[in-house]
Amino acid sequence: MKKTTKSYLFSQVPNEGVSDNPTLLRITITPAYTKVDFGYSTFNSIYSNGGWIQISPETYMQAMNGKRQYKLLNAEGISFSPNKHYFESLRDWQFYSLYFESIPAEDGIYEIIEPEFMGDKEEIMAAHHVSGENFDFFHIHLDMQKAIQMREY
Amino acid sequence: MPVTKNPYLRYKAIDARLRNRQKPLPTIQDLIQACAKETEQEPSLDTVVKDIKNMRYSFHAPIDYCRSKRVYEYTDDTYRFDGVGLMEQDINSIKNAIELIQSIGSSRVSGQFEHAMEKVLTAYREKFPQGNFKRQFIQTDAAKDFRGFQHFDLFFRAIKDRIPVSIVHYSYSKHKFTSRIIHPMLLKEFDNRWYVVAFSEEHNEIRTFGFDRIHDPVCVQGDFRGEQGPDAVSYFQNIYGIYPIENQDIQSILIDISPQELAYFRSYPIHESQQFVRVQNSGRARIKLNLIPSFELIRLLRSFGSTIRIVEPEWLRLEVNENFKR
Repeated sequence: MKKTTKSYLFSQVPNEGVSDNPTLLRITITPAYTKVDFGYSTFNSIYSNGGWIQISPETYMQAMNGKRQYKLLNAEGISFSPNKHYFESLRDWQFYSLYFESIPAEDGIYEIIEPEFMGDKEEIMAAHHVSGENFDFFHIHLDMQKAIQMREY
Repeated sequence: MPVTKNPYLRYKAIDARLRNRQKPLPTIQDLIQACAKETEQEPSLDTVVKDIKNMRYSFHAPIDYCRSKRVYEYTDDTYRFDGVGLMEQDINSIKNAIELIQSIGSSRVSGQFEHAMEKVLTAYREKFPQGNFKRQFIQTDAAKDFRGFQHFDLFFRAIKDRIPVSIVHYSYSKHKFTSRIIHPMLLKEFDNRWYVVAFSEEHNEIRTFGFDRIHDPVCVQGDFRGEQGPDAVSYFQNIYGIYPIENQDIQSILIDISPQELAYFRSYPIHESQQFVRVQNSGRARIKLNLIPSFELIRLLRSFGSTIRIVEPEWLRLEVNENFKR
């Protein structure tokens, strides 16, 4: 397995999400972590004031057909459950990033899984992506030919 | 930054003390006293030792320490800490420029510039102790602390050094996020908002992105493509504002204006293409613009209300007068 010494960015990431909201936008692979960027819009939300979002700390990244789970290290722009990031209206949006353990800088197909939420039924219904059905992303194609090397700023 | 914490004032004091031919070879205590006199606050020994180190490192000051006599001196008499010598006229010009930047620029530029300005201002204060820097005599309409302004430095450097940038963009109209690679060409301010004008790889053309809609820009490797096609300044030559309306070419726009607006249109032309077609005795007039219509132009024309009337093109008349009622 190739050890990542440089940082790479995937600006376009083909994937199969349950819906296009949240949208998986970018993936950055660095020696220290893998950063996955998402965007979420409350436009067309069925929830009053746009509802809320949260992410389970148990969320992980895994190669399709692989065994190793890359743990979630940190999150920016979204609260870890049970905390919630609340929206104010149907015209809000949120950019957020999930930081996982560093994956190898090589071609691969990954999935991001958020384990089933164990709260009460009402909370499950109100959540945007606390349940596996709502958030999970499959067939995330990483093609190193499309990777762009990052530049120090 | 409070004057007493400003290291440049101490550098100047140390420099002056080292040059003092009446009292050559100062000790560290002499330098501390010189700084104290200048800043009205006695610095610690550590501070002055660090200052000397910084002067050597950052300003290449040839300061030598004689261990046996425990004194400091310049080893090169030709060294000038001030750099270029300035005539009074130069200093006056700099003074005016700095005050202008302070008045109109300080809220439009960010962190990295403030530090450089601080350096200049320090030297300036010394030369003009009576200067009144607190008095503001120009007030502009610059907004402060708006979303995305923190990206200013990154885009400034990307343009200067021709570096592609990966951004995440949120469209207010489509309510969607997209990830893009852009090649920044120009930073543009319009109507108190900042934009980066860039070649967009996905669109394969120049596009304008509002700072407030950009998330997490990062510099990436790759060939810079910001020099393809028209330059950014030419791109805006035929546009009022930022966002041209899609599929609209440069065209003539005729507008009738009421007498009470005549003076304003004469004083502040909307665009450099503005011409008066006719002016009646009453002050009623017709002007002609030759440009690519933009969303900002429509917004501006609507703001005049019933004091103006779009004559042609018809689609613009409907857009400004009719659709506004929706």
